[in-house]
Amino acid sequence: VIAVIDAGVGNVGSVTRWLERENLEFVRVKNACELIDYKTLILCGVSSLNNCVSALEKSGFMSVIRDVAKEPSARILGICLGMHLCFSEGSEGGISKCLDLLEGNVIPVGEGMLTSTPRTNVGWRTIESVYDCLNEQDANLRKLVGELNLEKAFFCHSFAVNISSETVLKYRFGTRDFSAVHVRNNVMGVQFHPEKSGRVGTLIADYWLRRR
Amino acid sequence: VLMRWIVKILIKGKSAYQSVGFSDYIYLGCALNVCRTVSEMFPDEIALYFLDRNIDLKFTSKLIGYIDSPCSVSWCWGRNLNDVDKIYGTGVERLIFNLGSAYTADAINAISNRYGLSSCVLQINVYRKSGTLEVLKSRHHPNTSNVDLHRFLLGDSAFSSLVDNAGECIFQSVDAEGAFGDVDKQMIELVGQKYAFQTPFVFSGGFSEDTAAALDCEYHPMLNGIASSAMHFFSNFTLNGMRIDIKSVARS
Repeated sequence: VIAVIDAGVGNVGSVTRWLERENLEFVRVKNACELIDYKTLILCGVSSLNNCVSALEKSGFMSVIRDVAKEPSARILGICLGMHLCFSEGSEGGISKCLDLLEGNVIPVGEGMLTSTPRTNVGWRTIESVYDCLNEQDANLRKLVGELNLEKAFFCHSFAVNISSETVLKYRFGTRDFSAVHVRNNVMGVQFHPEKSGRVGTLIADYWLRRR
Repeated sequence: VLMRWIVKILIKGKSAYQSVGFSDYIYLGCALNVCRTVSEMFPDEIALYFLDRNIDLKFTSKLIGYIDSPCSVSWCWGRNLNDVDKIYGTGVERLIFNLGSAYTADAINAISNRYGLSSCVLQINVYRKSGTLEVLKSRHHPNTSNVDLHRFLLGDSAFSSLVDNAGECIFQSVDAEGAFGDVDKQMIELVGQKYAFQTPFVFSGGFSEDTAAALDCEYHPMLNGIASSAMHFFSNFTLNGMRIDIKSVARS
């Protein structure tokens, strides 16, 4: 059973409808102390990072998520803002200390680029595998990356993550590549919205959540 | 950049409508059925335009539940953050704020701080008046006046802070909205030449080969796509007479 964290922020409704379409069993968890019973967690997107961190701190979710992530059998999926939450800190809406489960920097998407580059990335983009990750031990992940390579996914964000050794899929925005999917052990962050990306979402549901 | 095609569905009560210039509404069908039908065609995005001043939140939530594509909502009610919270609570990703509504730059800033910049869309209604294009400043405030589109694009200070606080802008030609084969080419050209903000935008209003040409030649680095009515989207499947071949990214 998948636990969808519901701290009153994020597009929880869209994510739960996606899970329904994919025939995955889930519960909306509003109480942090209930979270410890679950091994698969989803952190939803759509909010500003500062606002989301405050809501999760206030409801006691932050420390429980860190505890669950220590379990080798657990799996965490962070979507868009949920992905940013998995890094050590972010600056959207003010500096916020985050979960520190993934390695990388969250920066404004147009930072350091020409003024002809938009400040937000809204729309469909092609995602591309980072070939280093094809040596990945996890056969499941390797297969997922292979299937997602060159697929189109829906992005809607104004902050993005630089590519690091944990990036398995990337996308191009302006003159730079950014991380589209970031994985470390049992934590996966996806910058796009799998719940709105059709086949891409189904593949993530199959390989990461259902563990086909 | 993959240009996207946003399908606009006008909703009154529990029904979906088609109109030209936001008048003479033609009944399309039950809103739930229309949304489901459009969603099954995998558009790049669906924008729901609620025309009533009051929204049935439960119905809205059900409606959004039928939509698998990215979804945004425009509505003409609500003047505070609580109302915005309620509408985000229905499961929508993005809200479209009409420039003609009472929202100030501070309010838009507060909303984008709470929900993220990319969740805030600013709609700019463009009217044709005595041959010139004007931006409707506020329909609800009789003391405010329209502004020439040219001045708006050059960064009129009253608007630039609004545009800077939005994640995307929609330039909507109200006169051409919903019309077949009729698009405000002058608006497209003027925006393409003068737009000086870093907020990406989409064109809306009418649908013709000119729109397609504008997208094909990547008119402006900030251009993200087009928005058109549900009937235009349907016509791409059914009316062979229309030689418009923009393909939805999600369907291609």
